[in-house]
Amino acid sequence: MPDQPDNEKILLQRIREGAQDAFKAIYARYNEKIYSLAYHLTRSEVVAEEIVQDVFLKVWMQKETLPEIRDFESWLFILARNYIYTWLKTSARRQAHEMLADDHVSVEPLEVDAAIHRKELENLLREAIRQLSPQQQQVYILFREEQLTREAIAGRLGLSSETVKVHMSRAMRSIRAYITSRTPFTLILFFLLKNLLLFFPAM
Amino acid sequence: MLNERLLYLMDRYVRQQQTEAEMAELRLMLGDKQYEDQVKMLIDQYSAQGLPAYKMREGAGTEILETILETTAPATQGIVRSIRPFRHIWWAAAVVVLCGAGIYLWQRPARVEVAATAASQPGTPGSNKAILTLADGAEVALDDKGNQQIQQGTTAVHQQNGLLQYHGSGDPASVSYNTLYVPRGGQFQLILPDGTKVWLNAASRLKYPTAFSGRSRVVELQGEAYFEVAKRADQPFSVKVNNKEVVEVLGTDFNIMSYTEEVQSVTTLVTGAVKVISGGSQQTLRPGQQALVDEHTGAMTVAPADVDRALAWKTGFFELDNTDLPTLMRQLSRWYDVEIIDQSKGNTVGEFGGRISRTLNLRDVLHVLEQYGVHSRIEDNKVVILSK
Repeated sequence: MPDQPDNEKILLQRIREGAQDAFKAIYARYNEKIYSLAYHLTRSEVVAEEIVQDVFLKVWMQKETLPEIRDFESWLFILARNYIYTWLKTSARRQAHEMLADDHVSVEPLEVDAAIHRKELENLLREAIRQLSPQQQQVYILFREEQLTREAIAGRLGLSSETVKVHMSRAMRSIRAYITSRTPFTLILFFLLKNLLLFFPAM
Repeated sequence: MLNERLLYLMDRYVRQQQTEAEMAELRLMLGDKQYEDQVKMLIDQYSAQGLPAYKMREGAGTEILETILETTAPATQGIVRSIRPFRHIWWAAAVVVLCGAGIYLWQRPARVEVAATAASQPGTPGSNKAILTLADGAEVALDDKGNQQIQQGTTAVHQQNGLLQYHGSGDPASVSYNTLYVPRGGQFQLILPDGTKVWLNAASRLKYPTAFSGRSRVVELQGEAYFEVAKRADQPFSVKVNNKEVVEVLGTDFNIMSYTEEVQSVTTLVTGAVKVISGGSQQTLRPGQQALVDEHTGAMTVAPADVDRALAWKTGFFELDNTDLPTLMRQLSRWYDVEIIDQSKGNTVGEFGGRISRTLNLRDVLHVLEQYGVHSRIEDNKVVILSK
């Protein structure tokens, strides 16, 4: 497409006005490239998909400022690169940490209001669960609260194990997007990686 | 300049040919902030050189797209803050990371202990406390446990724990000024009569009218505060900082750090737009930018901001990024209300990266620093930095 840059400017302008079809067009144009880069560097399908989600969630959330970006493609790839870097860093640290003996840290933890913060986040999580479809909710609750295996959930609900997996993965995605779009801190990624993705195999 | 070893290890890794030992070595480098720029550069290179086109799992692409559009559907603009002030993300607060020579200290969330610490004990983390000065000069001490209604003429002020809120528009005919002073070792949240939310950090003071009448809304700040300004197109909001620079805003979220003992004041914009005016010059900031104003000369520069870092205090952290020891110590001094006596004669390690939870006791923070070669001792309300 020779007129792509101009066409892209129009798309970005329209996204700014909230046009979902324009957003879909931009997504279609770039999502596979970003996925490939993310997968190449993280070697995990789940993580690479998450990065794609985070990148485009960010695009959608800050749609007001998109037309001001001089070179959208570069901007998008810098965003993706930063998310990839953050994942590489946190994952490396986490794994390095797991290899250290626990008593390496001698600082006495005193998390005075841990309970309160936990509650805040749990509230957000509860809201996120509330906006799931009834079936996703059911699957999620059986998995998280009742700690059932995928097979047991399938048996309980009379669904195939494959269907449960699909519901679960949609539920996870949706919860993740709900929370990340409602907290200003990218750090939330840590929490989500550690606590929400238990369903998925570890990297 | 790219580190050859990093290049080699990354290459082995993306080809999935790495040995366990190489992976461990790569992890150390990836986790080390020192290599951040290089790793990013490498990712850019992979991105530029063209990659194999990996295929997403079937349906995942559409699913992601739908998830984004659905979860943001009733479309909140920008960021919604459901996480309230000072209620930082619990798990992160329990993590202490200090990155030195590739060593990372992590703290696990452990038992939850109820705060039973006496406030007078030196080195106890700061808490919600402030002093409210009313228009007639009367002072009201506010702490975390308070729950009271203060009537001032036609203005009702309500305190609930660490939050002070002004109700109603008040009587514009009888505008008076209140001052909220947060001492060292404190923090407090305030909702102004127009609905603007302000989080005040330790050793900070905000002066504001009990009703906003007239053509603009003006408050005066010393110290550090984060603002979420209520939109009122016909009544611009501005912050006078240390009686010098002025920050003019419409409706927007930003942080101002203006402790006079720091070399510069920093205004960091999160969303919206603000104009910073200092001396004869003015600059308009865009989200993600900050204006740095030299405390002495008033000279201003605009730079990209690390927003998370600028807001770390509000989330419950000291965030360090190439932070030198004196700067870190000044932060500790304000939060733990201690005096710092530096006997090291500049003989301490250079700069720190990472983050420290503000809920830790000072003793624990110093203990962590000890492992990075900073030796110190607590004496009453003083921290003495030793030379070795």
